[in-house]
Amino acid sequence: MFRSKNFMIVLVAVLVLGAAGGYYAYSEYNRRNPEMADVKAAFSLSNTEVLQAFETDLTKANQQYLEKVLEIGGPIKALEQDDKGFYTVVLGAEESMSAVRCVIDSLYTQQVATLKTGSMVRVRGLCVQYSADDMGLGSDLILNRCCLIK
Amino acid sequence: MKKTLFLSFVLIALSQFVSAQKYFTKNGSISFDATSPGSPENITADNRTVTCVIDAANGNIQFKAAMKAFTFERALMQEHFNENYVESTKFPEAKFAGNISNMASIALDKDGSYPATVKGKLTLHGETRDVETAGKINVSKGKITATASFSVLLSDYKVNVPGVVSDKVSKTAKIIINCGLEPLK
Repeated sequence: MFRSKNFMIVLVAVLVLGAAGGYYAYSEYNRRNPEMADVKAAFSLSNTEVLQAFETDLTKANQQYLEKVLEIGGPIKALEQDDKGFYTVVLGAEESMSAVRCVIDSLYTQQVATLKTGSMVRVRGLCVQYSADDMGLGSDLILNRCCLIK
Repeated sequence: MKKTLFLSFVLIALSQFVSAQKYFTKNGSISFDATSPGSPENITADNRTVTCVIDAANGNIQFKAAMKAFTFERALMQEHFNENYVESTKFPEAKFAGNISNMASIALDKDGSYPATVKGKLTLHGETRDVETAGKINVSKGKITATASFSVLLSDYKVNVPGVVSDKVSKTAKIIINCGLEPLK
């Protein structure tokens, strides 16, 4: 009787652990990238501040900002739309070749379509790369999966 | 005085002409498909941060893409791609430098669909290999679009696929590039 009770406890524990492990594996496997609207930004800066940080000390800026969610404010230099309709909002000064390039999540396509070049905007996105000027086209900071901040 | 003015005008006009011979984009797209034939899931990702420059004068072509900008449907797959497969912190960019060998037969100022033979060196995961592919350049109402697709053997770039997922991930990845180009001013 005692042995049978212990066996049942162990069996239930194994089943509970197995189910928990299975649920964790299933949810982890199906996990999606979070929407930037639901993520708190690690840093909030202007386009000039963040570009200055990378130009001044690349190693330090990489450590501080890469793979972090950033909220960047600045003037819209260009609104670029590719042939599939996806937008990139380019933040920067008209006369500069360097900029913060914000690849917009398709959820915000309609919202971005209403923006105007030259107006100020705040964008939140994942900082993925500071692209150095090795093609004579200026240096760019690239933010991916971006959303607009109202 | 008149001669100086004329020379200045010619130089400015010439510089405009020379600079207009380059075409570029910073929002080109690149996608890859490394789905194994028997895999129940798609191993695909897209990247919309491709920088590309074509020099119409000599056919030189360069592009680069930020590895961490590849977006997968599943976050776990994306994490494995960056951390275990292409080590994107150590090798943050994929680069290509090459030449369109038949550039002389491509008129970027005239509407048409032009085949392009592209040869060059692709650097990925710190490994550089020769690549040759047949691409296409479309010119329509002044809009220039360059497209190309080719396959790479993952082992050529020392991208190791663990045995546990070898039935899902193909040994080759099909890469598709699509760039809308503008004149470089």
